[in-house]
Amino acid sequence: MENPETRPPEESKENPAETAAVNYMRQWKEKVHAGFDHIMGYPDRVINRALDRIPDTTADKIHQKMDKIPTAAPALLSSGLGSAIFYEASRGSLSGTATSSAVTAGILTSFFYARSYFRERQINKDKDKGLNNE
Amino acid sequence: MNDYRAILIELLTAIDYNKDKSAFVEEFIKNLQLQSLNNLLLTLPQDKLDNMKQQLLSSSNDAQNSSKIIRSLFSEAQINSSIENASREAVTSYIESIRDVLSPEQEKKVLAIIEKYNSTA
Repeated sequence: MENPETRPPEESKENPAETAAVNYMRQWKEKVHAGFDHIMGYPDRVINRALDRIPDTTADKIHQKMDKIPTAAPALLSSGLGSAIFYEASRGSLSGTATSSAVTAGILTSFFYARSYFRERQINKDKDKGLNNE
Repeated sequence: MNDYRAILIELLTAIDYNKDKSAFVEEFIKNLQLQSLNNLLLTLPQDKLDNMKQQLLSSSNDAQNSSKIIRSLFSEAQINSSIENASREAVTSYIESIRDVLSPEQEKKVLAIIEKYNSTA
């Protein structure tokens, strides 16, 4: 199984912003699934990630023991419960309106703070330009 | 009301994202769902969380059952608030991860989108 943590970052020499976006999404996915595993107490998945980094012979022995541990199909659970979150958020509204409003509201709040950051950066750039011209 | 999928696509277009934009948005939504769920689960006392795990193990893993479990634990307002917070944090982190590598042209386009939605909010 490929270990995403040891996978080299995507390369896009022409467009670093695209590379950053792809890497952001991959890291977020890893983090959010690890978070779910941790909350739900799925140590076998956490151990599996660690096993990917140790020699095969040792890993095989540990795997044999781990096969005896019952699992609850965590990927299916996380996906089913995740979808239920969006469904339940819009229980009292039509066609997912409440869910959509919540996601959009989050994005717009984030934009509000991002605007301040970009504006401040622009002011600093202009200041630097002014200093260089003097 | 603004369509969040369209906003996310606009942002990707601004940074000249040439891969599958829809796939990126779908991945964003899946992660957002799970992030919202994680944030909610973290607010539960241990006994309720244990009880929920027990319910999951002893019942079928279908959409109806998942919804029933979620509904028994959280109000609609709690869920919406969790989604909004997760969405805000996700987009903030996303912008932080790209902002230092934007070309001047891309930065201009991203800022234009941010300004446009700030003025319509």
